[in-house]
Amino acid sequence: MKLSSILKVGLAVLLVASLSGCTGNSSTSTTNTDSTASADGSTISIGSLGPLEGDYSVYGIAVNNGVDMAIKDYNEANGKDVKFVSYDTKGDATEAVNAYNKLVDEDHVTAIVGGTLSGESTAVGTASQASGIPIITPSGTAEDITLTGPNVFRGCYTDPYQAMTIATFAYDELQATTAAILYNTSDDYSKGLMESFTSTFEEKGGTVVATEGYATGDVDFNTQLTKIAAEDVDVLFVPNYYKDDALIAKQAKALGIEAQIIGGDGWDGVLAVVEDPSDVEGVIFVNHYSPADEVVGELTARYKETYGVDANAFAVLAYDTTMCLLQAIDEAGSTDYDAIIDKIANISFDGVLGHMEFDENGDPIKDLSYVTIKDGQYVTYGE
Amino acid sequence: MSEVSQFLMQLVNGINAGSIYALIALGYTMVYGIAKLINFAHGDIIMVGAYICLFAISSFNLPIWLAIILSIIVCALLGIVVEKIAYKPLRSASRISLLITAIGVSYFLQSLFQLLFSANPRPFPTIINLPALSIGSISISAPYYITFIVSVILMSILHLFVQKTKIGKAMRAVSEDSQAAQLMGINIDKTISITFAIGSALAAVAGILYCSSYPMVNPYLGSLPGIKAFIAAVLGGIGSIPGAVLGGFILGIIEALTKAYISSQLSDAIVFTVLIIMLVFKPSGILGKNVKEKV
Repeated sequence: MKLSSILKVGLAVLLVASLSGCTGNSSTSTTNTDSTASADGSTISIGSLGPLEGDYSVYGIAVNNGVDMAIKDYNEANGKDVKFVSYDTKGDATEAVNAYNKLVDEDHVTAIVGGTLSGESTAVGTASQASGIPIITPSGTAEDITLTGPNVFRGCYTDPYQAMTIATFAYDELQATTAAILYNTSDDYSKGLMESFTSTFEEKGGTVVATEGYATGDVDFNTQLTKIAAEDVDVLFVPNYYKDDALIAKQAKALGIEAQIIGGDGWDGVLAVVEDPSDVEGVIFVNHYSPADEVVGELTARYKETYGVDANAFAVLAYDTTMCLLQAIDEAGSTDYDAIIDKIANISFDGVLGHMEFDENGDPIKDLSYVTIKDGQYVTYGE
Repeated sequence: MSEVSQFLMQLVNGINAGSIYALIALGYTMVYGIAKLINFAHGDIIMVGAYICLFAISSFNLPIWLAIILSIIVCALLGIVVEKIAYKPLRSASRISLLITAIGVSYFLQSLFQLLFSANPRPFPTIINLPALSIGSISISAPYYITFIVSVILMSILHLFVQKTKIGKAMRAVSEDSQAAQLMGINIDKTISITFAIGSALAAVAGILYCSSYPMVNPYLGSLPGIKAFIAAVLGGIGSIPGAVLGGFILGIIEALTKAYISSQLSDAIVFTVLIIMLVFKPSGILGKNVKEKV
């Protein structure tokens, strides 16, 4: 599986390399490309990659807008003229590598924010090893992305990091010593969170007394929850997407389970699918930002005004990541790739999503928000 | 909780899930018994029923009883239309063509509803406002026991209908030998239309009760329970009305006990292995008749 995907990427890169003379029409430039911008002059330009059409376009457009907004804000605040170039990847790894080549060879961008999805980000990361251009993906969560090279960074947390944080929070903050898990056996996200949570929670000294599974499409969790109810645990970890989470929370409540329910960012959006918000009252989950955060609130309001759509986590992450990159370019004082990479690796950045630094792999060390549901609203935990 | 009450609790969980399977299996077995067609679109008619009830209540503010009746009528009509357009032209074609057409109808309905209402799940309103039933330490919430009662009542009515009424007699005749039935003056088209109308009306009831227990509506909600109910119908003996209900309960109980006492992570694999073994020993299902071909 892994080998074959590496092969695919390799083939894609070869194919693109051989076709690089005639890729002109495969991507469309959407914004103010300045053809005179070059890496050796004083002009700084940022490239962005993501699916602007197709099934995943909601994510790509959000990232595109987020980067655009960050650059405009930065230019306004610092009196600079950073350019923005963006290409459509259609969510496809080959298209993404084509777009990457255009950014580097034709537009001579200083750095790249992208890709948006995990697959295309890994492909672009691999392709970028020849040029060594600084790249930050604002939203790709697959572990492999930042392992493609030292020039590749990530602005969002990975799934293992998320689960580790939740386990630490459960043990230290909630003082839980016993936990039960109900996860989807056929979903990589859910399974990954379950594994990382278990290892961290047990390392800390807690015990996972029950690990129950279900299959995609299941709606009846009563049997698993009846078993969990009999164990009388402190926390119930539910690492799934909001659709399943809503039904699990409702059935757990009906069975009288008193364990604190905790979860990952898959819970975001759960209030939209519950008839009675009291079913999910008191649930705690981690997310990229808190909905009650004033700084983020101001940003999302301005975003909606500018782009006419609600900002999602992708847009906010793209904004924050771009600001971080611009700070690094500022600190480097030049458009030399290595100088910028060195500054990103050692950055201490405070943005709308809080403090961020990078570890040796290029993954972020950053604050997570603990969100809880109170009176049918998302609020920051502990406030 | 003691071991015994834990076991009883899991048994109740199994019967709860089984009631839904039973109710859906009734529609499957009804259509199969008369038209000899495995109607794979049955699960999606459940989905249509749930959407109609949802919109009738939340968008048009109709009272609950009217929403339920509306949903039943629309689904019955949909069943007739699907039969007329998709299945009737193939009545003399091979069984496999019909089966594939049924799968096509299933995908058509799913995609249509995804286009119309997007794939985002919507919450289903609470329509059963009754207190939970408490027996000792076990508490059963209202949608579950209502589903149990409704599935047993509908099974009895349906059984009596097919056995005692004139239309029921016509249905059995068509099922046994449609050409001979036609020669006896039975209107085959009308009989099959009525069968589909009843089967789809049952699907609407099942859809509403299903979404009362698991209150979330999306275009794919019918596919998994549809498959499970199909298995229940085969297990009970496809074509047999009491068999469908029995098969539903047995499937639900096997599932619950497997998840509870063997492994919830491997439950589907184990459940289906048990079913395969049962069918190896009794291929016609628990209450199915072993029909011998006369040569």
